[in-house]
Amino acid sequence: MSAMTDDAAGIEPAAGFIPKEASIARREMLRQLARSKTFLIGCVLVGFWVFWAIASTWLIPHDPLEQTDAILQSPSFAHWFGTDQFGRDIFSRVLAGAASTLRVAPLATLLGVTAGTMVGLVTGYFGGIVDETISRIVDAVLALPLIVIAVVALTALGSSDVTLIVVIGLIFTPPVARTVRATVLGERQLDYVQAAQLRGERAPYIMLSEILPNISGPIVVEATVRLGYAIFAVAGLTFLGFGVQPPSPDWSLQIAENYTLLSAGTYWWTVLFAGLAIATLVIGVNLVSDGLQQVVDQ
Amino acid sequence: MDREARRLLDEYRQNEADPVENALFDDLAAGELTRLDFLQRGTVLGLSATTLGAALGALGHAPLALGATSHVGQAGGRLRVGIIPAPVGDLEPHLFKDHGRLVTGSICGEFLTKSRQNGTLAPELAVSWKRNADATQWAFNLRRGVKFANGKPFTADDVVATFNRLTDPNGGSEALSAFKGVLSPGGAKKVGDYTVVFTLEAPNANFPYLTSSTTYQAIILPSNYTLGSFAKGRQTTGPFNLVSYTPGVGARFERNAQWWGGRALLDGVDVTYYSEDAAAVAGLLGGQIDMMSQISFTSGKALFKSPKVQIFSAPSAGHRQISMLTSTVAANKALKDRRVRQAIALSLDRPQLVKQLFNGFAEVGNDGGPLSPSIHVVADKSVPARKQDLVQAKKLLAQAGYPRGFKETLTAPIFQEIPQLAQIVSASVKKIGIEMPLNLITYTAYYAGTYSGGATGRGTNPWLNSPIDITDWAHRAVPNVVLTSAFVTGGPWNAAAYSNKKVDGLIKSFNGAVAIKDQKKYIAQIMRILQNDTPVIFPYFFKWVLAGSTRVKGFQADALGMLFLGKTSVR
Amino acid sequence: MSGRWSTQRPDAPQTGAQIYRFLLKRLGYALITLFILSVLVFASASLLPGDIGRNILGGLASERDVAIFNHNAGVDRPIVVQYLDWISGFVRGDLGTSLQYNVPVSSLLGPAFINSLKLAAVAFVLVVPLSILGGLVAGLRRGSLTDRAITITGISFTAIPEFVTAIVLILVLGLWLGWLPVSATAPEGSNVATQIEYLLLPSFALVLILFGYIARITRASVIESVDADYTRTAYLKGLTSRQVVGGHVLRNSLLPTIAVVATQVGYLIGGLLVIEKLFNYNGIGLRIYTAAQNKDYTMLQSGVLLVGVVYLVATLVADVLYSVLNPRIRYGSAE
Repeated sequence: MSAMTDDAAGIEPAAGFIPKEASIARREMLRQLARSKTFLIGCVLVGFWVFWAIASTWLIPHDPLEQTDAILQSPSFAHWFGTDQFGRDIFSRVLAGAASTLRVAPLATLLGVTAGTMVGLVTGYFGGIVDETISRIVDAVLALPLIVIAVVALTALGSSDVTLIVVIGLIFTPPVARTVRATVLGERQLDYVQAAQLRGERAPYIMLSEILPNISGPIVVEATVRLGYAIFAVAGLTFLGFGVQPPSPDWSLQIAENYTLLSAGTYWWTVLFAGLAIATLVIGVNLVSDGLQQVVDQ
Repeated sequence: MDREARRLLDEYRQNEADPVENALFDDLAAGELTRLDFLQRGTVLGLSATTLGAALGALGHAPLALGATSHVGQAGGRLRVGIIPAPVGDLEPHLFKDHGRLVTGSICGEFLTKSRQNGTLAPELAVSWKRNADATQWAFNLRRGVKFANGKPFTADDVVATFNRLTDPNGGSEALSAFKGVLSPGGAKKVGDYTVVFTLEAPNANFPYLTSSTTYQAIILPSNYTLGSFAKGRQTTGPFNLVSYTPGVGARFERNAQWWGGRALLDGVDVTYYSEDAAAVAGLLGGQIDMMSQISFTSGKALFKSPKVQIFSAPSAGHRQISMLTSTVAANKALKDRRVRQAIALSLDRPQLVKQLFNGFAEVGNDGGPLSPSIHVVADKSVPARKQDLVQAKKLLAQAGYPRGFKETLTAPIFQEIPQLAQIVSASVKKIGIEMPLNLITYTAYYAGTYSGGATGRGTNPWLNSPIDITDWAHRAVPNVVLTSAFVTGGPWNAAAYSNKKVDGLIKSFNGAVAIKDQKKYIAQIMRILQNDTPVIFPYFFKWVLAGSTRVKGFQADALGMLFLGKTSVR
Repeated sequence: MSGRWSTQRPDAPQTGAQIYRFLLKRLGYALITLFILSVLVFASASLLPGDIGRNILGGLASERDVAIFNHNAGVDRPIVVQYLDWISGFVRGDLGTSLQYNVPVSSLLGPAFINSLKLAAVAFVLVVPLSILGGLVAGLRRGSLTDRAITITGISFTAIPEFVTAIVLILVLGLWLGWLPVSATAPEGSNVATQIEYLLLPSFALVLILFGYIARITRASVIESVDADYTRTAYLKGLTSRQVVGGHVLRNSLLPTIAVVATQVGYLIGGLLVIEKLFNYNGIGLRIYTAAQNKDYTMLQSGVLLVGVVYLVATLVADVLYSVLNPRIRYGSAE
């Protein structure tokens, strides 16, 4: 980590900006990322779906909501992925479905990571009774499986994009806080922090301007990991009926609406492509996070 | 013409028949009633099988087929049934409200009369019934030699106690929707051990239907029944006895050795509750269960194609009502205009709906009211069916002042095929320029909230207060309850806030009419007015469809999905 | 992904006395956490909107009936009283009366809980050895084709949402091939072997879901211990590969795995809602779900707290195991 390098070199960062060595180290990290196959493949996969989330309205062949008489047709030249029970083109729906997941999951992750980082910074830096109390509350929330909290909260609040984002974001805050706290505990002992304290800097400044930049690496990694979980959570909750409602082309909705059809051994195309879409997106996010982790951990 | 039949019929007409019954025979003779209509009406009036058969024979119709099954299965084995969804709430008959509970109750419980698949009424715990001249009193003769599973003999006291509980205004009886204004506590009186006389609050020619399985809360229970005992078993008279019940999980029934109907073929019935279709379909196809209590829109497709499975269906008057608020504060201004409502009705391709959603197991509805052509004898079949006509629809919209359409949200509960219907409606009205986004909410949420007070006096619940919504309506053998509760001014279930004095009067007259001719007369007028006003769209009347393995024999589906398993076998 | 279970825990106790004090502290923390959890659970269950009586009895019930119901259910008492009543009952095993079914909650949650335990046990027995083995092999042969294969398989399956995995398994193994029953509930009175047979299909789904995660953690800590100084020392001392792996590497890499598995216990007991739904299995996740949908607050709060208790007990046990197995590693001083 860049902080280690600074420390080892005996250079103290002046108040307020990151010295040249740190930015050189940063550029080196970016160069390594660009060479990491894992990272690049991940970016391609994620980028593919981000592109379609944004561009699908203009570029897809058919209207994902348009119902026709061509019901449950298997893949053909007219419909590459076949049609569903309403005669809607599945290829268009799969491409358009990226939007609903990518609308909610990244925002939920952002909320969770931001809130979690704040909590982690505070508990890690101050320690003492503040840390103990908040950590017990964090433990309490962590004792419950995500889906249990989500189901109860969403039943109470109703399902919409906003409630999904808020609920998932809040559920992610404790694990992120945990990780950030552990990292901050490690940083707190280091010289640059003590130097800042000696200089008389106030706590918020130290936390945000000194410590935070130095732990940004692990936080970014954690964020990408959380993003993967968020996509999972959104997918699972939508499948259960808590997320976006029909006729949205959301992937989990497609699976939920059509998987009973599979029992007869036919109509596989109504479910397979949506499932592959979710899987490739999650794999992509996982690869990105793995690539980042390999580089940041050095 | 059968001479003997003729003789019997004449004898009956001279000595016993009252004006209403004679009118029935006349109508049959004049060809104004079909054979089935005649049987439905005749059984309600309490005509005996002999008389019915005689009438049919005398007038050249096919004779009565007395329920002989072509195949009698082997005894033994247990039937494993999947009921979807699980019962919600207490397993207490007078509180039955949902599919899970009524089906569970139907396996062990029995009623005074039974509503058959073809709409006729058959004797069950009552063997015959007769009304007085103006249908304000009905006398039921009870079956002798019947015992409850706990050994207690069945007598008139049990009937009186049961109906007192069903009609009690305090106690939460869900049967009040059927009995309010018809029968009140104390209205049922015992006359000797095996006769009960019901004195009604107003004339009602269809009362026997209300004592049948159609009023699924009306399971006859012992006179000393205490609340909470049903789930422990032995409180019923049917072919099976409830032995164990685990809420949300399942129930077990054992053969009732004392059943008056003989010895049931099955040793017992094992019920598993499923929260949704897919697992039940997998269970049926995988051989873990022998029967599913209902099939939905999607699961049907998988099952229809499987050679391991047979489909059972029963004609039913179950339907969906697409109600549009025609008045009150919250209504959409556009929907207040009947031309707009007609336009929406004209935008639907109903035959396609039936094909897509029910694979043909439904009949197209027109908008003349909750009157199923195949179930309701009184339905006027000459009211023209509404066909899709986009041109006319657009014209009507323009006339009403909305040439470019408008936007309104369609609220619907997530229940069976209703979400799919909502999507199709939304796509259909898009073709005439109306933008209709969906608000799909859970079944509980749809009916949740208050029912009085508030800005409109109709409370906060989505059902009665959404500008346009879709409601599920269960089968009822006669349309009285639906008409009174949903189309009379101020009716408790009047989601469209429809108010038409003329219709109010006609419905009142219909309820009181005894002769079938009169009933038909009023209905015909009601249907025409409703078709014109279109407060509610009736897209279809669906059949009750369920599935079972090919080994299941001797089973007939019921319009409400009840499971009558006395003659069923799995071997 | 190291979180709190990296092998480099700064506060790992070493001596017996330290372990004892540490565990006592952990127990204390757990109890405080439990208390906070119970308050949180109770508060949220009570905040589920709507008049309880109205929700259960439905819109057409009279105001009087609703008031009577509310009174009988005790929800018109002050909230602190309700909480204390619930919590004191919970500790004694009286979990309240289900609002929707009118029977004791414990009579419904008890069997559901046992069912969840059974499923978790079968899944456990399958996934833990498999993942440890996979992680071990991958870690020892780091960078090789085997490593790549195991890691990629792991990632791929973990990336597939659990409902997709379950659906595919039901279809392929259950319906198309007919090898296993598609319902997870064996008929009443079945022997152990049959019950396990019925639990195999959902367990396979869980194996696929968890394998990647556990194997990866094991692999990471195997790599760490292989690289560690003490391992090199062991080799230098002349121990064979097998002895080193079996003795040091395995034991040290097991520790984080134990910790990870402990955290999964919470998921395995209460978080399998989707699996239970798809296999129609009466587990505690499904009970909680139906309770939330039907506004059965008493069942909901007791069910959720039960799941939380299980998780806290599991992590406490993991901490005990960790401390007991970890006395010989020396790390930096406490925080």
